Amino acid sequence: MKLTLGEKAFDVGNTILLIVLCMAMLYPISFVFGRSLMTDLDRAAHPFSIFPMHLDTSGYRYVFSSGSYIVNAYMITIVRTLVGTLCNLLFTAAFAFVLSNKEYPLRNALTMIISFTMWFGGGLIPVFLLIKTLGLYNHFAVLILPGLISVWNVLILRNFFMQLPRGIIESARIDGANDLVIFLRIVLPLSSAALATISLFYAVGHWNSWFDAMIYINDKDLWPVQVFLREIINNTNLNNLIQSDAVVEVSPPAQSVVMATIVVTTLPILCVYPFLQRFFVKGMTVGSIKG
Amino acid sequence: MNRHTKKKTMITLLTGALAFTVLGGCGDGAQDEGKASSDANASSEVKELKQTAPLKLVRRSLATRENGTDNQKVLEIIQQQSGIQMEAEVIPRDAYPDKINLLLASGDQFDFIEGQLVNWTTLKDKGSIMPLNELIDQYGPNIKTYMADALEVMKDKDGVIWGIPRRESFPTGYAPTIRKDWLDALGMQIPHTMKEFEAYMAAVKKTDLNKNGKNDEIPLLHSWNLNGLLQIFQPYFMGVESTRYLKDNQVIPAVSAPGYKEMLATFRNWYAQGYILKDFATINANQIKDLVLADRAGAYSGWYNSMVGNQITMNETNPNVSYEPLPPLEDAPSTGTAAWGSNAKYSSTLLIPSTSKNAAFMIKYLDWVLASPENVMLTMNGIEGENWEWVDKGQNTFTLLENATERYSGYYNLAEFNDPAIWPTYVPADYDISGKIDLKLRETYKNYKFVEPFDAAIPYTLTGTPAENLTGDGTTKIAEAQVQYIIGAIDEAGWDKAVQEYMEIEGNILTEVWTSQYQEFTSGKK
Repeated sequence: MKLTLGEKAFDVGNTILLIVLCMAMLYPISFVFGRSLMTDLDRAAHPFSIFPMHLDTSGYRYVFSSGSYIVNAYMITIVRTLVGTLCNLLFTAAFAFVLSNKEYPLRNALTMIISFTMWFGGGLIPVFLLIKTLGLYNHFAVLILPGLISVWNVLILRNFFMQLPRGIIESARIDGANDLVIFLRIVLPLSSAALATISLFYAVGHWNSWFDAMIYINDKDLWPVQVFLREIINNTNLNNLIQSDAVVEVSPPAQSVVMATIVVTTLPILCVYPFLQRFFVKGMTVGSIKG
Repeated sequence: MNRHTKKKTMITLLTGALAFTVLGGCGDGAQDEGKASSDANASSEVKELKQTAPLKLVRRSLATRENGTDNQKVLEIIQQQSGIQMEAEVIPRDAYPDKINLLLASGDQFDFIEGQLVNWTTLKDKGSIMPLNELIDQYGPNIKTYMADALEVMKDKDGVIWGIPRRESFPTGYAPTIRKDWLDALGMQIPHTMKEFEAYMAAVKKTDLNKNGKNDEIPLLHSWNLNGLLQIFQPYFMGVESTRYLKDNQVIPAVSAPGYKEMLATFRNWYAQGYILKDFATINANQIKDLVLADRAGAYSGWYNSMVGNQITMNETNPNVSYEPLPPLEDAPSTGTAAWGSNAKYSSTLLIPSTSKNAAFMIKYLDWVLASPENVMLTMNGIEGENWEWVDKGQNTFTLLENATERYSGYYNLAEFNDPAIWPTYVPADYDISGKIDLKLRETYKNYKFVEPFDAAIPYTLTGTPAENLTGDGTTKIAEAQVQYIIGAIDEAGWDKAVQEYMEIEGNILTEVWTSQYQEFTSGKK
C-alpha cells in the first residue's frame, strides 16, 4: 500500500522524535562513560562534552588498585546476587505453591500473617536487635536471610500458580506424584516466565542494595560494591564539610574516579537487562488475574 | 461454631500472636538496653586491669586511612609495645552518627566513638557516654600533663570530663586565597583593605584574564554554600565567628547581632556586581573544582589549602598560576576586627560509650601514645624508616617517605593532639609539592590574628530546656531570608522583618537558654 504524504511525514517525524528520545536517554550514560576517561582539565574546560580530548584511565586504575576494596566488593555483590536470588526463588516459589493450594487449611491465615508484614514493620532498632540476637550481625548471611521471601512476590507467584489448570495437577496426583514432585516437575517448568520475572526483580534488588550492608555490616571485607559507590560519591563532597585540618588530609576522589566507579558498578546489570527484557512484558501481567 | 467463624477466629488469634511477638521483642530490647547500661556503669569501676577482649573501635570510613597496606603491620607493633589489643570496625562516613545511635540504642558493647561527628552533650544527656575523671586520674598521667587546658572543653558545668579533646594544628585556617598572577597582570598589589579587595574583584570582573575570549571570570568563589562567606568574613564585620554573639552578657543568635546585616549587605552588593556566583547557594565541591580548573576563579574563600591541589593541576599547563594568602583586611568596621575565621583550638575527638567494658584500656592506650614522640609517630605515621624518618629529632621534626600515607595514615591514632611539646612537626620532603605549598601558606597564615568563638568551651544543651522541642522552622526561615536578601528578593525592611520573626519563633527561646547556660558555666568557672 502506498503511503500518503501525511503518513510519510508522520513516519519521518516519528522517527526523528524517537531518535531524539534515544539520544536523550543515551546521553547521560555516554556522559558518565566519557567523563570516566577524561582528565580534570578537559572536564573543566568542556563541561558538557562526552568525548575525552586526552584519554585518562587513572579513574579505573584507582578503582582497581591493590589497596582498593572494589574488587572484593564486586565479588561480594556477585555472590550475593547469585546465591541470594537462587534462595529467594526457591523459598518464594515453595511458599507460593503452598498458598496456591485452595485445600490447604492454613492458606488464608498464612496469607494474612505475611500480608501483615507488608503494612507493619518492627522498626529499625527491634530488627537490629533481632539480627544481632540471631548472630547475623557482621555476617554475609545478613545480606540474604532477612529478605529471603518478599511478600509481594509471593502473592504474585501464588496468583500465577493458581492460574495453572487444576486438571494437570490432579492428573499427576492420580499418577502417584506427591506435592514435591508436582512442584518440581510440573509447576516450576510451567512457570518459567513468571520465575524469570521474579528472579530479575530479586537480582536487581540484590545488585542495587546497600542499606542492609550499611546497617548490619561493619566489616569492609563484606561490603557490597554499592556501599563503596555511595562512599566514593559522598566523599567528593567532603570539601563541603571541611571545617578543620582533621579531615583536610583526605583528598576527595577526582570526578573521573566517581564516574569510573559508576561505570564499573552499573555496567554488569546494564548488560543483563537486554537479555531479560522480554520477560518484563510477561512480568507486567504475571499474576494479575485473580484466582 | 461454623467453619467460617472458626477460620476467622484462627486468623485473629494468629495475627494477635504475631503482634504480641513483635511488641514483646521491642520490650525485651529496651530491657536489654537498660541492663547493658547498668552493667557498663559497674564496669567503669575497674578493679583489676586484665584485658579480656580487644578494644573495639568503631571508626568512620576515610578511604586513605583504612585502606593502608601497612595497617595490620603497624597494629601488631602497637599492640606489642603498648600491650593493648585492638580491633577496628568501619562505618560509612555519612552514616556514622545514625549508626552510632543505633549501636548505643541496641546496647552494643564497643569502646570508641569519634567525637567530631556526634554531639557529646546530647549523648551525655542520654547517658550514652562515660564520665572519664576517675579513669584519667588512675590511668592517664600523660593525658593530664599535656591536655590539662584542653580537657576544659570536654567538661560540663560540674567539672565532669565526658571525652578526650583534640588540638588543632592550625586553627586560623578559614581564610581567602587570591590569584597572584592575575594581580600582577592587572598591575595591582595584594589588597589590605576591603576597598582594595573590591577594586581587585571589579577589575577581574571586567578583564579577560584567562584569555578565552569570554567575560566569564568569577572574582570570588567560596566553599560550603553561604557558610563559605559567613565563616570567613564574620570576624571582619562582627569581631568573632560563631552562630552566637555575646552582647551585654546575653548570648544572642548571630543574625540579630551588630555587624551581621552590614555583612549581608556587602554580599548583596557583591552579588549585584557579579563578584560572587549567581548560584552560590547551591554549588557543590565538584562544581567549584571545575570552575577553578577552568581558570575562572580570581579568589577563593574557604579552608586555606583547598586550592593547593587545583593549583598543582593548573601548573601543568600554566606554571604561573598561584593562589596566595589574602591578609586580614585592615579597614574593619567598628563592630569588627582584622581577622579571618578560625576553628576553636580544642574540640571533642574521642568519647567512650557507657556500654564499654574496656574504658580503662582505652585511657591507658591514649596515655601510652602521649608517653613519647616515638609512640605518637608510630600511631600517627607508622614505622620509622619505612613510612617516615626524623629530620631533626632534637627539634621533634620529621618527614614522610614517598607514598607513605598510602601505606599507613594514622588509622590507630585515636586522638590527634598537635602540641609541639609531644607531637612531632611535619617537614615536607622534595617530592611533596603540595606539602611545600601548604607549609608556605601556613607560615603566612599562622601570623594572622586568631579569633576563637567566645563560647568555644560552653557545653550548650537543649535537652530538658524550653528549646528542646523547637522544630527548626525558624532556622530554615532565616536561612532562606539570608539568601533572599543577598540576591535582592527582599529589601532591608524584609530582612529586618525576617530577623524579628526568627527571634519570635525560636531566637528568644534560644537566647534565654544559651544565656542561662553561659552564665551558669562562666560563674562556675570563676
